[in-house]
Amino acid sequence: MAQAIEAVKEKSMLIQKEMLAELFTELSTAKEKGRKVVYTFVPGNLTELILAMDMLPVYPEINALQSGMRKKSASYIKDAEKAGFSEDVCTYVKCDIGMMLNGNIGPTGEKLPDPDLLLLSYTGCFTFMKWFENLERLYPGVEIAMLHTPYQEDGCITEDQVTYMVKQLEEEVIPKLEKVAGKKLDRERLSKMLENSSKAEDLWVNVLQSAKTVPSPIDSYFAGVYYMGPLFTAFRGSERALEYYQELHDEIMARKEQGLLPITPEGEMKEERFRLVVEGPPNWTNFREFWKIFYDMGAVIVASTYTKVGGVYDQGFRHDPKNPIESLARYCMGCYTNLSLPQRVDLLEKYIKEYKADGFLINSIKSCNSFSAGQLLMMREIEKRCSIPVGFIESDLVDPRYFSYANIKNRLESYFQMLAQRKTILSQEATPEQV
Amino acid sequence: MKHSTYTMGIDVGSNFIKLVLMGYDGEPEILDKRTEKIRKRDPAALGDEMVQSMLERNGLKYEDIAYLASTGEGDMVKRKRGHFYGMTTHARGGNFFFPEARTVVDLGALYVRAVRISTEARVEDYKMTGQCASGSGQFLENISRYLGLSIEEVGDVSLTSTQPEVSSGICAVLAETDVINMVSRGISTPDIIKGIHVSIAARIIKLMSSLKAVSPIVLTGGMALNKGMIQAINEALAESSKGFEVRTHPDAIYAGAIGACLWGGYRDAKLREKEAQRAMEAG
Amino acid sequence: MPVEDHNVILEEVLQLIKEDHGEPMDNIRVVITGSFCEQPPIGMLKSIEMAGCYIVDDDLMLGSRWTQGDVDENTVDPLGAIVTAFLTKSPASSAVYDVGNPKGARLVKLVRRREADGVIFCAASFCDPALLDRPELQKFCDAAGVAHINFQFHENTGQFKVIKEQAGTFSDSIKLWV
Repeated sequence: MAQAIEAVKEKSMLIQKEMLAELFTELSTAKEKGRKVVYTFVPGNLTELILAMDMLPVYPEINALQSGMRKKSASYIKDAEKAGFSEDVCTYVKCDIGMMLNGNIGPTGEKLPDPDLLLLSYTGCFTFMKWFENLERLYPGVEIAMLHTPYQEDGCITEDQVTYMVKQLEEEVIPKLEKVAGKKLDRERLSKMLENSSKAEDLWVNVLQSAKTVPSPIDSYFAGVYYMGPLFTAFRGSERALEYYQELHDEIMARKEQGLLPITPEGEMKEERFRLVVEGPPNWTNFREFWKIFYDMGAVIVASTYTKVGGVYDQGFRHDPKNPIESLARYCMGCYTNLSLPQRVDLLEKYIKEYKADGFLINSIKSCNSFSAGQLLMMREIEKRCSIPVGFIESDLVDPRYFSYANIKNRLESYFQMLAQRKTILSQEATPEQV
Repeated sequence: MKHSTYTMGIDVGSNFIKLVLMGYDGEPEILDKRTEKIRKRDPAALGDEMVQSMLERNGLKYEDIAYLASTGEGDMVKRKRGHFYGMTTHARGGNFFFPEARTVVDLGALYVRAVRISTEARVEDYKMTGQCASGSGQFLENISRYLGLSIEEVGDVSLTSTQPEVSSGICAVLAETDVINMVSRGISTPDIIKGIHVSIAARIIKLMSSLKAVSPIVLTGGMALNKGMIQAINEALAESSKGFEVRTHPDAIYAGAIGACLWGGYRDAKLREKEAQRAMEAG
Repeated sequence: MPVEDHNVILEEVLQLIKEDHGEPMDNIRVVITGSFCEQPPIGMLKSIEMAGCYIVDDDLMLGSRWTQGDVDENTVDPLGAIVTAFLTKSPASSAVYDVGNPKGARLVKLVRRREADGVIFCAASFCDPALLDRPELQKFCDAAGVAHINFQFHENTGQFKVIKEQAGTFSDSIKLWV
């Protein structure tokens, strides 16, 4: 998902770095080699379908967050605003459009190829549709495939919804992919890829759940966004992804055995003082600074919802090689942002209990409606159910104007103080009983 | 009726209603004008009353008026034919006073607004003081009331100042506290008033500079009649070496109402023309 | 409100419309657009009107006026007829993926049909669907020579001073300089 952490070089990180470099090189030469390029979104993506037809995926949100990390988003956003986009709308969209207006140069400095297909399998975010409408205008006449993913309105995936999704996939999406690819879908190959996906997903879940150990060997948010990269984007279903997750899994399990603490850009954490569950995406423009506030205070994120935007695998879902199309349908509908508010609260409550969290924190993203709507409600509900200190900070995905370091640091420091006080009180209450 | 066309302009401010009657036979001419302090009355009713009495005084009926135009907060004025935005009418009013004017600075009760205009009185750009009250006429009026002066006296009192005491506060609330301190420190009333004029003048010149105002600059609005204010502005200009040329006009307070009259007249002619064209096209 | 009660009011309104209320004011005619699923604060609409604009068409309360024609009754497939009406007899809206029937062109057509002088874009802040459509709609307006302005309003505020200023400037510019 993001560039490998430079400071510490675990083998898994090197593999991921290589994978990304190869992908962007492939993309930069795609047109010469006659490879077809599909633009699509991360939540509920159909990567195995795209790869099974030898096409290359491009994820505009990833490009936007990469631009954010490389401090390019501010000027891209400004260019999009000059072109008439409001200051209030999704900053991923503005960053992406700004990047395209500036020659569509990708994160590695290589030019990204124009899309041959816009595959809109939007999950849990209506803005995705508007985003691709705008892209269609930048690439007039480009082929479009739409997969409408219904929200989990009833708090579950119904059979009707599955039927609806499968019908769309079989009758609209796959034929369109075949048309653009110029070949038939090889269903055996797809099944093989889904088998790889499923195995990688098992490994990923073990990695996530390692954070149930006290102290946790991983930071499930700040490092989690790196760990989730291959599975959530261009590599799911590939042998390389499986290899990556095997390596990552082994590394983390070894750390767990040895009782090691999470790795940060400044090396291993010394102490785990607070265990937190975090809701909402991170800020990308000041990612390192943001993370540092946490590890400097000994705060570890043991579970986060953002690492579920590409699939809530830890709740049991796996891609199914025996039921490929149906499992893709269920996958799309199961991603975190496609859940109803009560489902999101239930999941958070479960995380807080299972991961023995001391606190719950929301990073509310100014320009992300699909994440931020309802968060205050969620916060109050969690406070009621779990009676732990809750915190609320505000920032943005890739617009640096909305990341106020001093403000966020202040808020977090007083929040950590509150957590520390509560810990003292709890330990005092616990002592007499033990006597 | 002496004139072939009449228009009226009514400018509702936060303290005063200004009403002007104009007649046209070729060049427009101001036939009557009146200001009325609103006090705690209903501006809509008061405005209508003013219109009615001016009509009667001039032997006219409402039907004789081709266009009754409102401006300022006058969007609630009864029987109007159209409404123009305050900036548009002050631009036209300034242009009426001095056709060569290229900038109009409206010194209103609640804000100061500098507007750059074309020679046809079209607004090209503008800058406004923020929502803060300390740069405005209302603030000046409040302070003079504390000091026991009527607003009419303020200008002359200011002229007698020898050592103006400039308030440090930018915020009206702080500035008011400042003034109370000055009084207890024994600063004379003229020096306090002049100090306020000096501080407002500085802000006006800052506004002109940020607008890149073009001379000649004409001052409009109630404060433009305040001699002390004008002197403070001229002194500040002499010091600033910006080279702005500032003018005032005895009817400055009517600029909005005059502008409304004139634009009303312009619209009336334009609508008649359209009507005639439509009639011709219809055969 | 029950439909029956609403119908009574509608009849009164229709009667009122027929009555003579004197000459219309010298206002400009505007179409307001912002893909409103609900009704924006009445203060915003009043501010626009008080600034010298007649609102001659709008896209308020889209959800409750979605189908703009009769659903075909002579059919053996009633569900299909409803779907067809939903898809083909609906207003231009940011909720609809519009390739093939561009919203911009539909907006310009509406402006012409209503003999409007211009368009006021006034979506609610943070309304991604409406705000992401805006640049494209403005492009169509520019190409067709339709004057337009835009502002955003913040829900739950009673502050419309800025809106009044902008709408007033817009109205003046059309009345005096077009």
